[in-house]
Amino acid sequence: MSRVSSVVDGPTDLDRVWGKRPEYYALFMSDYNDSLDRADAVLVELCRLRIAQLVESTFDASLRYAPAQAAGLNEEKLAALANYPESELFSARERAVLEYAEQFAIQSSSISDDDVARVQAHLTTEEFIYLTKALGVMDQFSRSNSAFRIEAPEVVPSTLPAFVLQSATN
Amino acid sequence: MATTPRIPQEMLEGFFIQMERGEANDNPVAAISIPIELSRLAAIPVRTRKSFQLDPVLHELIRLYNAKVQDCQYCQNARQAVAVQAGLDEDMVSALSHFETSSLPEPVKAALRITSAVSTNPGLLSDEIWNQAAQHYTEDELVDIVLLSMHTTASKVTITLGLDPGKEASSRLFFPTEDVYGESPELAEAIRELRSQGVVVEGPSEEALPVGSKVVAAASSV
Repeated sequence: MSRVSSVVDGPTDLDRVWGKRPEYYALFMSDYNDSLDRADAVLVELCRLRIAQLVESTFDASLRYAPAQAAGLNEEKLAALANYPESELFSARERAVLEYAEQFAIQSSSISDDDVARVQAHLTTEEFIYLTKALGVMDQFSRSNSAFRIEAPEVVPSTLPAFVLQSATN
Repeated sequence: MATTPRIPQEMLEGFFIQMERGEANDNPVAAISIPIELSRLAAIPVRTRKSFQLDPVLHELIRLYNAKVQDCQYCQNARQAVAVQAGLDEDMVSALSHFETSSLPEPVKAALRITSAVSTNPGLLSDEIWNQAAQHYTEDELVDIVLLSMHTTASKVTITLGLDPGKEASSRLFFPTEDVYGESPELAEAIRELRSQGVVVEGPSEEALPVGSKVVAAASSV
């Protein structure tokens, strides 16, 4: 149960709460899915789950992005995510991107030109633009899910077609 | 803060064309701009049948609070004419940076506590904050407050890419009839309703009005 009690009908907490504004829900999720699809799947998933940890979103932490799994991202690596600066499981590129994602989530206005240059050293211009947009929607989504206290779903919401349940990966 | 572009100059134009006219093009920066339909539902304090349903002054205060938190120069210097006509004044805007100790009404403070938590650390959105707000707002309104508080953090992308056009670009009143919001039957219906109530829904499009300008109803609207 989320903290919202007067909900609409739906198979998951996400549908029941966000569904109170169905047009906004549909449009936001469309932009969300499109934005993730444009960026590197593994980088997206690492950043998405790190942001979910930072903003305490149980819902987002309970899902896995199937394109990242298909690209080889496994649970052993995700278990080390909070320790990415020291873990040998992460490449220099992944570390730079995760550092950028953390800055983005915590206080984006403090990201300096030097910070941007560090991550841009590992990305093309298009990759940088698409990653930043993906960070934006993932940050927004996790924040509101945390604020609503939306719980881990028993089924994957139809608005997140590229995701699977984390429990199904064990 | 970044008001200098962090992407190639040739990509900038596509972003602003998309932002202002909703035109599609193959520029990657245009592809990531906020869909115009989302802006229509969430970014203007006009209650259509499909949009958030918040009081226009509260709506604008939440937007401006986040503009300050995210340090969006463009966002901070824009004012929605509908909210100004509904009672938003510059003293209220100035109070946002210290809202807890300000003379803003308690319901506004209760809503801003939610906005503050959503935009900084949503784990701090306690039951106490939620229940205090519930004394002033329906649960539907609380949902809208959270969604609007989240929606108005979208400027983080713009700022991080160095796309904030700066304060001079937006030191003016915005009206709900402007092209930037596109067209929809719901918005047109809501604008007609506002106009029938004497609210000014369109202003001089060529010349910018300074922030804080008093909106004077056109003769035809009085």
